[in-house]
Amino acid sequence: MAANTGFYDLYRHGSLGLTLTDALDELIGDESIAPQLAMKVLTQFDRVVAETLQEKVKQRLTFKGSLDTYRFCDEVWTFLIRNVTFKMDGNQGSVVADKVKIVSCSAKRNDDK
Amino acid sequence: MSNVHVGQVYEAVIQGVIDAVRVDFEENGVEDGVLEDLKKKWQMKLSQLNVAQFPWDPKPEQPAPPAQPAAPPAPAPQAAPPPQAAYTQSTLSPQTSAQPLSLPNINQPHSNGVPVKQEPGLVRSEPVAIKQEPGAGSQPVHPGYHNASHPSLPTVNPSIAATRAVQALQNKYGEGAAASIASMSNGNGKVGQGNVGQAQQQQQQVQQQHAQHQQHPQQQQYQQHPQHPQQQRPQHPQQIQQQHMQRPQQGGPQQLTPEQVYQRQMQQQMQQRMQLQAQQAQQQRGIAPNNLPNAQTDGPSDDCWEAVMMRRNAEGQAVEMGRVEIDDHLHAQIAARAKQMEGGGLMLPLKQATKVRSLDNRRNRATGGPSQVDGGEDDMKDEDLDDDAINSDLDDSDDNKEDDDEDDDMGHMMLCMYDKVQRVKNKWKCTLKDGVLTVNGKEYVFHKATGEYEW
Repeated sequence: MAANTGFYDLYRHGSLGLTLTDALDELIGDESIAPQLAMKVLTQFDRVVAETLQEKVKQRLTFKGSLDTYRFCDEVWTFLIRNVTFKMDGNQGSVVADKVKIVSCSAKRNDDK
Repeated sequence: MSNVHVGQVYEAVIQGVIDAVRVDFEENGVEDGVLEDLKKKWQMKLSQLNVAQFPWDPKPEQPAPPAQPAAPPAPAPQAAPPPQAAYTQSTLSPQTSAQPLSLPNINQPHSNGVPVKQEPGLVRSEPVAIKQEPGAGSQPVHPGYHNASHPSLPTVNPSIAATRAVQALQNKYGEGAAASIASMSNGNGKVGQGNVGQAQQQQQQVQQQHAQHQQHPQQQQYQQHPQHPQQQRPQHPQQIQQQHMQRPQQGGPQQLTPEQVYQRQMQQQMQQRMQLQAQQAQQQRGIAPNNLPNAQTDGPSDDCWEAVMMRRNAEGQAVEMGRVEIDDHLHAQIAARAKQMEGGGLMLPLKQATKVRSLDNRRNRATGGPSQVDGGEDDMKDEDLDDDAINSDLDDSDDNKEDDDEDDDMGHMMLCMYDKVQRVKNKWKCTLKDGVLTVNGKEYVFHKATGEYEW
C-alpha cells in the first residue's frame, strides 16, 4: 500500500489504472519518459482517483448475493460473492453477475493518515 | 442500471492526473507533447475497453442518422453498370446467340444515340474502331457516327436475318465459320490471301479510312452505319450485292468501292475471330470475358511450347522437363531459397516455425522434390512432442479450479473502501464506499454501497 502518500494503489487494478499503466509502459518503451516519472504519475493517480470518487460520485449501490470466500489480511477485505444482484438507487433495473470479487481497503486508515 | 456518470468521473480523473503531473514532467525535462500523448493513449485504451460511454468518444447516436440517408444512393451507381456488363457478356459469349439478337429488335424503337451500342454487330465493331482511331486522331467521328446511325436504323433491320445466319454458323462451326466467311468475301472481293495478308490490308485500310474521315467527315458518318452490321451477315454473294445495291439509295453518295467494303468486312471478321479466340482462351482459363481486353496480345496460342526447359541426365544427354516437373523444381528451389533467407525459421515464433517446417516436410514428402536436404521428418515429430510435453508440464496443474476462482474474475471486480464489515453467524453485512465496479463489461462508480450476503 502506498502508505507514504496516504492513498491506496488499489485503483490501479481497475480499468482506469490498467490503461494508464499500459500507456505509461508504452511511453517508457519509446524512451519518452523515465520509469521514475511513470511511478510519480501513478502515485498522483492514486490520489486523484480517491479524491474524485469522494467528491464527484453520489450514487448509492446495494447488492445481495451468497458469499463464497472471505479473507481479511493486512487490513484488506477480499470477498468472492456468487450470484450477485446489484441495484443502483434511483435507477430501476439491476445487474446480475454469477460471481464478483470485491477488494476493499479500510476507509478509516485512509482517513487517519 | 445506468453508468452515465462513469464517463464524467473518468474524464475528471484523467484531467486531474494530467494536471497534477505536468509539473513533474517539466521538472524531468519531458516535453508537453509527451504528456498530451500520454493522455491520448490513456483515453484511447479506455475507449477500447468499451466499459462506458466517454465524453471524448464520438457519440454513437450521432453518426447513425446520417448513415441511413447516405445508404440508399450508394446502391444506385452500383446498379447502373450491371446491365451493361451482363449485356457485354451475353454478346461476347458465343453460346448465347439468340439472346443478343433478339435484344436489339426490342430496344431499337426506344433508342436515341446510346442504345445503338446494343446492336450486336455494332458492339463488336466498337473495339475495332476505337483501336484504329488513336493514331490518326479522328475521334470526333465517333459521336457523330452514333447519332447519324440512329435515323437510318430501319435500314439495318433487313439484315438481321443474315446476321442471325452468320451467328448460327459461328456458333456451330466456331472458327470454321469465320474462315468460310472470309473465304467467301475473298472470292467475291479481290485478294485471296492468308491471314497475314488480311492484316496488312487492314492496316492499309485503316489509313485509307482515316484519310476519308478527315476529308469527308459528314459523308463518312453517314456511310459507316450500314457497314457495321455486315460483319455478321455476309454469307452469300447475292445477299451482299443486294445490300450494296441498297446502300447507295439509302446512304447518299457512295464513296467506297465494293472492294473497300469487302476489305472492311474482312477486317471486322478478323477482329471477330480474334475476339472469339480470346474468349475461348479466357473461358478455358476460367476468366470472365469482360475482365480482360478482348484482343489476344500474347501470341497465337500456348500449344507451341511443349517443353521450355532441358536438363542433363546422368549420361549427359539433354532431357526435356515436363511442365509438372518444372513446377516442382521451381517450387523446391524457391522454398529452399526462402528457408535460407530466414535461417530455417529462426526468426519466427516457435509454434509458427514448427508449423511451417512440418508443412515443408509434408510437401517434400509428397512431391519427392530435391530440396529435402535438412534431415528427415522424424526430428519434427520429436519437436512437436517436446512442445506438447513442455506445455503440459507448465500448464496442467491440479489447482486449476482454484486459480479460476481467484484470477479469472478480473472481469467482475469491485474496488472500494470499507467502512464496516459485520458478521452474524453466516450473514454478512458490509458498508463500502468510493468504489469502482466492473460487471459484464460495464463499469459503475458509487459513493456508498451496502451489501448483504450469506456464507
